[in-house]
Amino acid sequence: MLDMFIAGFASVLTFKVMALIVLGVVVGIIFGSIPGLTATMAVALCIPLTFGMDITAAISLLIGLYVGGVSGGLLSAILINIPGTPSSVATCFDGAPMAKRGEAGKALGVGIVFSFWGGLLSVFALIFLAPPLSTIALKFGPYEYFAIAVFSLTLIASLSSKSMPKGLLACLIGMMMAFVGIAPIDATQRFTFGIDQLSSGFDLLPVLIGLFAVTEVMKEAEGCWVKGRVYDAAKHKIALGKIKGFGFTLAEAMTQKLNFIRSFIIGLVIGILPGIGGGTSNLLAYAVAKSQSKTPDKFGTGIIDGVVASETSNNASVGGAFLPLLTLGIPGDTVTAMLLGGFMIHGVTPGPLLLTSHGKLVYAIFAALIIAHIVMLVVEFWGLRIFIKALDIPKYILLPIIISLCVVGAFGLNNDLTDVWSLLIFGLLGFGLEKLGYPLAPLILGFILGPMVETNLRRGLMHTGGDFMPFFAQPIAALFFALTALSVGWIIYQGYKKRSPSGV
Amino acid sequence: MARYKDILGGLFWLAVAIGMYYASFSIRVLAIGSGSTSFVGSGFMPRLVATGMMILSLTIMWQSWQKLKTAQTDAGSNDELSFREKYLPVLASLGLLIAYIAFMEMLGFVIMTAVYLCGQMFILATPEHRKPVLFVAISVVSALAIFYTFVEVFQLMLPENRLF
Repeated sequence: MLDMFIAGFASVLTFKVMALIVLGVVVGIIFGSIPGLTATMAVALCIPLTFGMDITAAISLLIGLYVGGVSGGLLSAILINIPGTPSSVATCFDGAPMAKRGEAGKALGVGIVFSFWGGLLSVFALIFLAPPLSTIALKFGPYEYFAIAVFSLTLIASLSSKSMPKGLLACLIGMMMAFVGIAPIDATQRFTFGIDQLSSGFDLLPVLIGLFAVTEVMKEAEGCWVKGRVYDAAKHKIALGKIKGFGFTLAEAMTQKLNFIRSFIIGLVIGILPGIGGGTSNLLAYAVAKSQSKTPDKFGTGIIDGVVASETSNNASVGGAFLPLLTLGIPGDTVTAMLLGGFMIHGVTPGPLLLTSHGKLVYAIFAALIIAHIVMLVVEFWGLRIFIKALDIPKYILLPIIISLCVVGAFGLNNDLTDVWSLLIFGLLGFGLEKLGYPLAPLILGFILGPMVETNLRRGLMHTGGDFMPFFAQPIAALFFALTALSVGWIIYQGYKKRSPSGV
Repeated sequence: MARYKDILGGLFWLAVAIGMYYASFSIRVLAIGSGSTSFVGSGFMPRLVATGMMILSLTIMWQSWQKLKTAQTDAGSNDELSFREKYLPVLASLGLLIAYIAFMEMLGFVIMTAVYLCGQMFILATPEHRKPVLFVAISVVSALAIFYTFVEVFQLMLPENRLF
């Protein structure tokens, strides 16, 4: 194994491949940090550039883009409260309040370092645990997926900060929006109102950037014509704050040990499961961190725990997503689906035989992943001050430019204006819900998990001929159903405990 | 008005839920699998979600009603901005966004982006920060830079007209 590892490193540690990794990480960070442009899009747009390269160089570039893209999302999430990618939605919840308080440097430092460790450890998990973990992942069928999705939905309670009914309703609104389009299993059209363009449903990207970016513009516009209103540059300017190194102490980092380990495991496991990735894991890790915290009320006010949970888990999903790709040939998320295409273009088909047939390449991928994470840490550390400088641009100039970039991102999905219209629809919905005091995080979780619940429930019932009992007979599914029952019981107990001392 | 926002919001979502429940019956049911699975056809989840939405919107309305009954004193006290003052710029931004998307196919990405950027900057900036020449310059340069970066470098397709 060690000689393969050395050979893998040797094939990556050439000037050309290293330069491609650095280029990939830098471009990835730029794509990740611009709302509307994602790691998936960065990889998709750069695949044609790799046609003339050898496979090690090509995959190294794409890995750099992936790692940079996933991590870059934290920049805009913290600095302008708009997630750069779906993977950094939960980073907004505590990162943005920290930035508003003048701790942008610290929030970014925490995000960058925990992204690095989350990602790096997931690569080591990929190297050492790949075969056994992928065998377990292969055992996941509709019952298990259904049970996991139901369990994840119970976490909405901890994301519903002020009002539980509003949080639950927001989740159902998200599920409702996901119904639009072709139904799973029988492909019947639902709620398309005769509009052909709606038959493919709403894509997650316009939903997210609509909910965050367009809503942010509307919030900024609110009351801005009032006579005598002064543009408060101090309010809009994000202070870097006094920052040494990454802006936080080792003692602060050590308080996050448990949070880090928990979020890492969530990120890794979600990454391994095909179909879901960093977009889901960051929200789940945040919700779990909040529900397990001794001070859940502080979440959302700007504490590093929220940033650690979100950023550790989303980068841990990177290594996780590679696991089924390399060992089974099944992509874990959209970016690894693109990478699968990249492999096939160069004549390599990932699967159980990859390690024996292309061992050197597999270890070169491991090496590229490790190096890409180190490059990401260095680039983001040196770029930290530059990113914050970009925010010296007044918001009335910055926000419209961001919206234009969001339009490019939404249009680029399918070369169709329907996705741009969805951006507007979800922007309006987000603004309306904000005004009514509904949290947006449960809506996103409902939108992502709703189709997973429905597809696997229906698929499972087709397997069993309509009988629900076999769902409980599978050990993994039963475990998650038990966890669901415990989670619901805990929520009820917490609610009872909150009410009883005051006698309300 | 602000006092009744939860009741009005609840009413809105209740209406949407009833509409969805009703519309779910028009979803075509295909006979797939054995007959016993027909109860989880494509209309099952929408009906389940609609029922949940109805219960929750009624709960929110009831909770809000209870709050209104107990705290009747601070009737619309601290809303210092009128509805018009608050939401006119929001509506202007919305109108501009609709125009941006609606005319993009006809006029192309570059022209519409420049127009949108300029208009949105004017809406968001306070009168003393409105610098027409700067706004126009930034808008045109940004629109061209975005267009050429994505179309020329990344080979992405964006709506074009004959000019751009």
